[in-house]
Amino acid sequence: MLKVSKVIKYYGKLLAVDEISFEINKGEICILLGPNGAGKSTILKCIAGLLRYEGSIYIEGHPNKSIEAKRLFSYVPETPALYDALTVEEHMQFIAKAYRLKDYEEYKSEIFERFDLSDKTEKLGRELSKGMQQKLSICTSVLTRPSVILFDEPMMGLDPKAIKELKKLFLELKEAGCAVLISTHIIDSIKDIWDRIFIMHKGKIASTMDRSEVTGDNEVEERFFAVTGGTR
Amino acid sequence: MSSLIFILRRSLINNIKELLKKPGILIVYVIIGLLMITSAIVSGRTEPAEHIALDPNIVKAIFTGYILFICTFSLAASLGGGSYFRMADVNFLFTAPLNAGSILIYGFVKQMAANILVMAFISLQYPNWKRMFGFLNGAGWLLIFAYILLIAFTSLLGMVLYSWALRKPGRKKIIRSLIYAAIILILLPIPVQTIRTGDLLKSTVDWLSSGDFKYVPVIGWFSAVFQGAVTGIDRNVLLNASYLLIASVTAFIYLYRMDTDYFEDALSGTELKEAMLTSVREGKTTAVSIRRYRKVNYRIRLEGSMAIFQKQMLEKRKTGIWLVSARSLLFLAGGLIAAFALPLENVLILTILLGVYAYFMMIITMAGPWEGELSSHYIYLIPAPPLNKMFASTLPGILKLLVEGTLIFGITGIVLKVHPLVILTIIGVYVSTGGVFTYFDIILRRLFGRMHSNNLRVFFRIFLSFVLLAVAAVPASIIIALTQNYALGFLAAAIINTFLSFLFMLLGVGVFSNPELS
Repeated sequence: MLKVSKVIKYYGKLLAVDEISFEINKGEICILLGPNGAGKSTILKCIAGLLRYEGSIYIEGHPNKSIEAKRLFSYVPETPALYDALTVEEHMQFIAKAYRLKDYEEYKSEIFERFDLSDKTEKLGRELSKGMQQKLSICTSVLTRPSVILFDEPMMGLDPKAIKELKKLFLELKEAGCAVLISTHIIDSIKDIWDRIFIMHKGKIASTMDRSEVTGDNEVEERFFAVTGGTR
Repeated sequence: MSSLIFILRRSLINNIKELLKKPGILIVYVIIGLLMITSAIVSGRTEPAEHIALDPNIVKAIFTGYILFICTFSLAASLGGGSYFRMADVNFLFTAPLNAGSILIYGFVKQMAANILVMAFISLQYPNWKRMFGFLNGAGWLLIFAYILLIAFTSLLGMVLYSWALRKPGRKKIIRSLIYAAIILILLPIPVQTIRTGDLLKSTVDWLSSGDFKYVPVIGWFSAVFQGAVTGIDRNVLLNASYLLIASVTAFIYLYRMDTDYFEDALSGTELKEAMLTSVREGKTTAVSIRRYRKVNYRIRLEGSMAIFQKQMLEKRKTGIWLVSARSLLFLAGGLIAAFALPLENVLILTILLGVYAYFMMIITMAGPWEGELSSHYIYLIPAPPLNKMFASTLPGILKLLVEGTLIFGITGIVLKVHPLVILTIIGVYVSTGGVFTYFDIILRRLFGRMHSNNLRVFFRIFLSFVLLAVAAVPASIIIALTQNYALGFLAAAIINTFLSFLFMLLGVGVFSNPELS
């Protein structure tokens, strides 16, 4: 589904991503876990085609910057940024047009309902609160029913109900065969949903954990601190 | 492409709908539209006044100088990776299955629309320019065409240079050096000629209006097209315009077809642009990328509202040259050049400088530090009367004008051996004029809120500020004409301006007590 091979990214002289490789399969939820500045957002931006890099990234066999690949993946950025003068409804219409979606109305209504946006469809982007903007950003990304979806710190600014709904959505995407990659630095936020965790530190994947290998409740946290050098 | 047109179309419709919900602001925009139409009609009927119109060579020189300025700065700035996009474009468009070239066209269209809006506001001045510069009938349309072409071409060329520079490290430096070297070469005949004739102004006008520029690509082409406003649209204008159109289309096709991976550059440029927009909205500088804060030993000792004043002074000290800006130095340099180059009575040179700099102050939209204060909640919570808070927030800006005025008119005045009393009063007029603009801006903020006051500020400054300036300038001129005493005239102007400033302070003070008004 998603194949990242030996990706290196420099910002000037700073090495932000140091030869990272991993693969995510169909119906798998993977987590990029790491402290601030570990390179999580950078690798997500590389996958989303927003940055230049060395190495290769393929989505279902297509180079990630190709139009074919872009039809298959979605990206939820860390900071939602909407069009000031488009309404909630028009954001969805735009996505439907850009991705040439057909028969999306029912699914759109369903996700609006789940994220409490049904009564805000005529609100402009600039009139929404930060949390509402994040909800709309999530709705636009799932509307395309992607094969691969990237979430960068998706729970920031969401209310408890939306967080619960989002976790449910992760599992539904997994059920539907979507490869989900979530970046976060909050360990508790991804408890119970992950299949594999990549712990990132200083631009590298310092450790990989598989759900089947984990026995204790605190094992992720312990490994995280052991790898990143922090203390609990 | 249809999805991109959808964004542009819906954004326009929604903005109009929003305006319809605010009749007060809509009326203002309608008035602006009517004024623009009136301006176009009036200028169409205005014949250039013989006694006012400048020498056509001076007009040609102004055009060439303007083109050189725009080309140099636009191309040099484009190497810094400017962006046509906002973060919403980055998040939605760059990741969507859309052609990168189409996205580029979309960004370009948005950018051009913004430039044309600014041009439309400035065009309100056209009837004055027509009389002053002696433009022929129909010249307005030619100038609009030439201006749009200038902005479009420099943007496109900047993008071509930028994409070429990205391919190898070190190219940016080479291109930037080449641009500056070319400008120095182009301007070199001016000092050479000045050494021979001893007249800087004449040498500058002679060179910048000379026919030799037609041999300089781009600059010469633009110069010929702009000069059509005074010489008439002939074969030469059409020929040069077609060169520019061909060059623009070529650059556009090159960019559209080029397999340039510009998203990363656009992303960093957009992040910078967003930071700049936030910064400007908060009344800070636009130079967010290069801003460095020094460590300084400074204690805030004043209490109450004056703590706001000292906080701002602390911020200014941390950013380097305190109350002196690059603009101050540029104005001073302009003053000194005028002092040496203008063959006029000394006090008249200083008066002309005051007029020119007041005009600049009117056109340049200054984001005052007070706007930054309004974006923070502290300003409303500090237990002090709103008028005091307003005074404390605007005082650093006024002090800056005092330092700037002293620098410009003090030094130029001494060089010109003007009486100290005249220098002092002229500084007073400069500072008080700045005060009028500052407090007038606060009233705009109170009337139209943050978003619309920012949009309308340029218009009001251009349109109403002439009226505001005339309130002080007319009595001052009468006093000078009757008494031949410049100091007395300037003193009267400074007093009137100060009175106006206080009046505006009282009218606008609400924004410092009620966050909803700002």
